[in-house]
Amino acid sequence: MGRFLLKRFLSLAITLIVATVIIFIMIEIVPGDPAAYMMGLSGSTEATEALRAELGLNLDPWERYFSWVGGMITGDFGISYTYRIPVSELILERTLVSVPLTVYALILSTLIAVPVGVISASFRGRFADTALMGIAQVGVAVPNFWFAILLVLLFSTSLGLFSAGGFPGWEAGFFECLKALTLPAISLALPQAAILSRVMRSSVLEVMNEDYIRTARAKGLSKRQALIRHGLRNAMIPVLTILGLQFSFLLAGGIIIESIFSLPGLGRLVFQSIAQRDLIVVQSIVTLLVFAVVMITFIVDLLYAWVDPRLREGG
Amino acid sequence: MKKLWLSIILFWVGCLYAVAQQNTIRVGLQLEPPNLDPTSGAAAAIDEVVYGNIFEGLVRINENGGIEPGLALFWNISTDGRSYVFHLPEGVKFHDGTDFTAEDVRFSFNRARAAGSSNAKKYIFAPITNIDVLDPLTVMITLDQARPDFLFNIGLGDAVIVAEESVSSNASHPVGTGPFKFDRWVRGDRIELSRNEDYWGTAPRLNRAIFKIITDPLSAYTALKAGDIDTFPNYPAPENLFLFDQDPDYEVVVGLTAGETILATNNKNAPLNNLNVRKAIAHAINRDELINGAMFGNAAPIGTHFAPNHPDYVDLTGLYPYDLGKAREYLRDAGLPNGFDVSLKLPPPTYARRTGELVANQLGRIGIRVKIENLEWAQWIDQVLRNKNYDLTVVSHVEPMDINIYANPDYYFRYDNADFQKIISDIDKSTDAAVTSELYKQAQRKIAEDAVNGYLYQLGKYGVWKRGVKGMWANYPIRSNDLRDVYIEGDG
Repeated sequence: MGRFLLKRFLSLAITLIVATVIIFIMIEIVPGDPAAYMMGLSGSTEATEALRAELGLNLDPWERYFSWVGGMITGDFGISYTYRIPVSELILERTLVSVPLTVYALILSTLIAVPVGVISASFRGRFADTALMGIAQVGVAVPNFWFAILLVLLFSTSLGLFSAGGFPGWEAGFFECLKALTLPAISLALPQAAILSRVMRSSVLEVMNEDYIRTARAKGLSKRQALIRHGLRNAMIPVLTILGLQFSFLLAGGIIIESIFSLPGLGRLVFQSIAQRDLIVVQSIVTLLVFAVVMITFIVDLLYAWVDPRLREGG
Repeated sequence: MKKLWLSIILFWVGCLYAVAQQNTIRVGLQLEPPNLDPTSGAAAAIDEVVYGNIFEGLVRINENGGIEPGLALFWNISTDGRSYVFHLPEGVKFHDGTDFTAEDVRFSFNRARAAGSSNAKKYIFAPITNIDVLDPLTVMITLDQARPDFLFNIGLGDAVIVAEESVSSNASHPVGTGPFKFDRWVRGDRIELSRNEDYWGTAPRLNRAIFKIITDPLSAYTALKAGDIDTFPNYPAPENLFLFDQDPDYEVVVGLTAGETILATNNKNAPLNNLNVRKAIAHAINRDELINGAMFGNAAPIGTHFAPNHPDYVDLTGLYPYDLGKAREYLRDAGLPNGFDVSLKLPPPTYARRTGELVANQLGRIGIRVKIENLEWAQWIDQVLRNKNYDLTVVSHVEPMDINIYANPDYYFRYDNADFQKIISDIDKSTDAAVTSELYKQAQRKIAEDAVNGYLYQLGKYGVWKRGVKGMWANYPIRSNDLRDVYIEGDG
C-alpha cells in the first residue's frame, strides 16, 4: 500500500508540472490582450500601455511563469486582471458553488441510477426493464440545457416554486442555497443518471453470471439474496469509474447549466475569463481542475482497492 | 385551529418579508462589470451600475443626453470660453464620511490626466491647463482654448469625482458621493447598493438596489417572468420582446442608445480604398431588411455617424438609397463588374452576428463575395481595432458624440481626409453654438458622402420592467441606470 501511494503521488506531481507548462504556453500563444479588452473601442494606446504596466503584463514570460508557479505553491495565485482581487478568493467563492452543485447532482444521479439499474437487471427482458431502459435512452439523448429550460419554465415561471436562477450565497442559509441548486442539480443529474443506470444494469447482469454467484445460489441463497450479499459490491466497480469521470466532467462542464441558472460557478468563471483574457485566472483554474481530475482518479483507485481486495495486493 | 395558527404565522412572516423587500429594485444586467472603478478602463458595464448612483461628476448627463448640475450647483464660463468656475454645494460627504471639497475635484482630474493614468478617456482632460482651487467650494478650470464639448465630457463616467483617501480601493469597494452606497458584490451573481442616508441632494425613494447578473438571454426572460428581477433596462433578446408587450404585467419601452451600428470599412485596403466601391456597398445595403431581420424592427436607420435624436442630426439615409442597379454601376466604374472577395470579421454580440450575415447576403446580390469570420472580443480588438487587419466588420460605436474618431487617420477605419480633419478642429475651436452646430452637420455629410463606412442603424435600448416601476431611463445617451428618481408604485 505504501509503494502504491508513493507511485501515485509521484505521477501526480509530474502531471501537475507538465500541465502548468502546457497551460502557460498555450495561454501565451493565444492572441488578445487583457488590457486592450478592458479599454474597449475608445481606449488610447497610451492608456492601454499604462494599464498593462499596472497589471504587470510587461514582464518577461519566464518571469511571469515562475512567479505564478512559485506563488501557487505558497497559495498565492496572483491578482485577477479584470476583477483586481486575489485569484484564490475568486476561485474559492466559485468552488463553494460548483462543488456542492456537482456533489448534489451526483448524489441525485446515483440515487436514481443504482435502483433503476438493479431493477432493470432483475427483470431482464420483461416490461419493467424495457420501460426503464427506454426512458434511460431518452435521458441520454436529451440535452441537459434543454431539459433545464423546461424545468425553469415549469417550476419557476409557471408554478413560481423556485427562482429562475441566481445563488443567494451560503450566508443566506443552507436550505436557501440547496433550493437554489435544486433545479440545476436535477438538470445535471438526469442525463448522468441515464448513463449510469445503463452501466449499472449491464454490470449487474455480468456479475450475475459469475461463478461465485452460481456457488452462492447453489448454497441455497435466492437470486436477490445472492445479488445483495455478493453481487452488488462487485457490480459497483464500473459504476465507480463512471462516477469519477462524471465528477470531473460536472465540475468544469457545467458552464451551460450555470449560465442558464445564472449561477456563479467555476465553469462560467473560466468561460468569462477566457473571453476577457483574464489569463491569470484561466491558468489557475485549469491547473486546479487538472489537480482535481488527478485527485479524483486517485480516490477512485483507492475505492477500487476497498471494493475489491485483490487490487490491493497488485498495486 | 392548528391551521388557523399556521396561516396567521405565515401571514406575519410574509408581511415581515415584504417590508424587508419593500422599495428594493432588482435590476438585471447582462454583463458583469470587471470592477467598479469608472475612471480606469472602459467597460460600459461599470457605468451601468455606478454612474449617478454611487459616483457623481461635476455635471450630470440625463436620460435625454442633456447636461444637468451634478456636484457643481452652477458654473460660470468666461467669455472666451476658456475658463470654467464651478460652485460646489456645502456639506457634501463621501460615503466613508470624508468631506467633498474643491480639492477632490483637483485630485480627480489631475489623477486622470497624469502620465501613466489608465483612464480610457484621457483626452477629455488633455485641454486642461490649470485647475485652481479658489476656496473649498469653488474651483476654476482653465483650458488651452474654448472647447464646446468640455462640459458634456466631464459629465461622463470617466470624469466622476473620487476621493484621494478611497481611490485605491474603488475597483472593489467604490466610495463616491452619490445617492446610493455600495454594500456588497457577490461576484458572478449580484451587486447590492443601499440608500445613502446622508445624501446631499434629494434623497432617492428606493431603499435598496440589487443588480443581478444574468448572462443568458433566455434566462433574462425567465428571470423577469419568474419575478426574480423587476427590470431588465437593456433587455438582451429583442426576438422575444413581443411576449412582454402582450403581458399586462410588464411594460416595454424601446428607446435609443448612442450606439451607431456601422459596417466599418478598412479605407486603406484595396479595393475598399476606391470611393466607387464604397458607394456600391452603400447602395447595396437595405437598412429596413437589416432592422427587421436582425433587430426585429426595433432600431432607427442612420445615414451617418450621429445619434438620430441629437438636435444636430442630419438624415442622410436617402443619400445612397438601396438600389442594386446603381450599386452595380458603381462597381463597373470601379473596374470590378464581377465583384470581388472580401472578409467580414464579426465580434460576438448577437446584433453584430445577425446583421453581418444579412449584410453578407446583401453584398452577394451585386457579386461581392463575403467571407464571414466570427471572432471573440479579445481577438476582434487585437486584429481589427489594434492591427487593422480586416476588410469589413459590423460593430456598434456606443460612445456619445464620437464623430471625431474619423479625424484620427490611425483609427481602424483608416480614413485620412484633410477636409474632415479641418472640420473637427474647427469644432474644437468654435465658441459659437450655431457655428458648432453647422460644423457638426458638415462633418456628418462629409463622412456620408465619402461612404467611409456603411451606416446601418442606431442600436435600440429595450427596457422591460414590471408595471409599477417608474423613473427608469428610456434612452441610453450614456450607459447608465441612474436610479435616483426610480420608485415602485405601491411600495411606501
